[in-house]
Amino acid sequence: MLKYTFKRLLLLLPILIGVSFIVFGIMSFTPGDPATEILGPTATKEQIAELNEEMGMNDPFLVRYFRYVFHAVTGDFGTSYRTQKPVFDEIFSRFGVTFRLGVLSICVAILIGVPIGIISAVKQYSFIDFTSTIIAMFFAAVPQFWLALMLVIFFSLQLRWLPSTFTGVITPKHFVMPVLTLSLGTAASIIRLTRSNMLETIRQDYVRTARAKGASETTIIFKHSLRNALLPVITVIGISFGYLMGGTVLVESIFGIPGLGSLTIASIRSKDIPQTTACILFLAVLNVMIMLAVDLLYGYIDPRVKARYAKGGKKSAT
Amino acid sequence: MQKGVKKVQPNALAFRKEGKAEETWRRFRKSKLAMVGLVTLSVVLLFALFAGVVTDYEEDAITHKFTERFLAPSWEHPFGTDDYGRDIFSRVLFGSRVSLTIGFTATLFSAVIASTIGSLVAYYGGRVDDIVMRIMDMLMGIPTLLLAIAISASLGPGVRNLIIALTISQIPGFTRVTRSAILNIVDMEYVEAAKSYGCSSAYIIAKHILPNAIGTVIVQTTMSVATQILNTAALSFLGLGQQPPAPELGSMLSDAKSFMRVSMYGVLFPGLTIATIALSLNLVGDGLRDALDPKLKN
Repeated sequence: MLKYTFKRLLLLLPILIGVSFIVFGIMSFTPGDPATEILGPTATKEQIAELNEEMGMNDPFLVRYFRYVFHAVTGDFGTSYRTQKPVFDEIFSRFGVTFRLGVLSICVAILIGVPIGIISAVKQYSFIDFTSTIIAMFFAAVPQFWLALMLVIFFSLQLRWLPSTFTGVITPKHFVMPVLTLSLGTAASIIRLTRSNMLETIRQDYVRTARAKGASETTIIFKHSLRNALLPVITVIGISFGYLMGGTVLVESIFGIPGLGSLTIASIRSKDIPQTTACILFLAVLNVMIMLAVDLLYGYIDPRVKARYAKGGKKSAT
Repeated sequence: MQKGVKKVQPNALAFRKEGKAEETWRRFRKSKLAMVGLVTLSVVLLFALFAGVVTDYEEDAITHKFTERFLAPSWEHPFGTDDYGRDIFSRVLFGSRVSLTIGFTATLFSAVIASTIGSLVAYYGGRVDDIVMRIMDMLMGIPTLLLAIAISASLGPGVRNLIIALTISQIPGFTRVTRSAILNIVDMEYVEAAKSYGCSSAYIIAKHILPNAIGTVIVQTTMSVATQILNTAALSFLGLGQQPPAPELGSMLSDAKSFMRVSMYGVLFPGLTIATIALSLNLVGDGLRDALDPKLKN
């Protein structure tokens, strides 16, 4: 298990190199240059050319990329073109609010999704099951940013209950709408997955055995079915995290949240190559680490998975 | 005699193929939700296709009429009017045409590219498989929407760039799905049997593997269109897609956002349209999956 963890952490290295190469490439081979963005529309052509030369933008792509990697290895990821501050200063100062948003959204999604999923499965084909399925399908198909706008219209403009932007003193009230926006879509997929897994495990032989032995319905649901049904749900939570991080870009811009998402989009738009690369690298590492955590947790909860790792047979079809 | 046998075979194959499609349709029809999805989707597609017949593009969707700003829904303007007095219903119809085109095109491109890569690496396996899948892992390390935003923002706004961005961002996930579907088939006994008969790789891929994997690809494609339409809207919302004054569902939402204190209809209807399209595509996808899933065959 330890060996496996180590191996997976080693895999982070090529991913880091790959992701930085991809982002660097996307930013470099597309139109526009940073000097124009930094100096603004009033700059002359000579000034722009001079600054580009000074920043080494005229060097070949690979030279620039390897210079970046060389500096990055020593811990220097560059300074932002816009703020002139080291890129990770900005990232760390903004990460807190995004992280809180992400964790809260996942928690809310689980709290909504798992119980409703269980009830739907236990009372299959009932009115509750039907309604929750329809609602889950709807929320899975709704664009997140539209949901955010509708929540603002309803809760801020009509009812005047909640603040629509992150201004003034930040209270828990500020988090309600962004968290709801981010969590409802994930909750929908958790509901559907929990339901279908519960239905599958309820039909398993060991559940029938437990029933035959006279176990109560509560024991059967919570001890025998739920434990197994929740396994794939953990994977979904891991996958959702990436989805949430993508979603925060839009949600943060709608609610004016000074987080990582709004930083990323602002950097992309102003051709701030070091800042963009750092933001996306950071998100990618986070994403990979969470996937690893999910895999490890999976092995911890499900002895069958652990046994497979122990044999060293890592190759899977997924 | 020999000739006769050869003539019968293609017919027999054609009959079996038709039988499969019919069987899928028969099972698909049984699911009420899937049929609701299919009907809704057809209605939306028809409206988008005949948008020019229902309303007039220049007159209703583009021309500014400042005396008719922010009207509530009425018989004349079923979805109300926007900040320039343009008919929202008409803009939604023409806008969904753009969104649907982008969504379908991007999905089609990524489906073709990804299933080609997926089937090749799954069949040949080995080192190529390892390298290609590691590259896909790298791309998947970046959240899909973020990757699409990064590509399209760097390329600059516009429909063509949006399609490129959406296609690239969707390829890694799609490749993984097709690869794993094909890996399952490659291990089947009938493929092994075909190999032991001495059939060529090309023959095995064309006759045994692709026909059996096509179901997974179709289902994935349907679901993908829904995701792509949502992503199209999201990117257009950020100003990266169709440029004004031409309508697009996402950019309509971004316009209406500034005026939502005055009128909510500009936000409500384009969003509901996106949700309806995505929902019906998901329902059809679910129905297709159930209809094609061999596990449910009795």
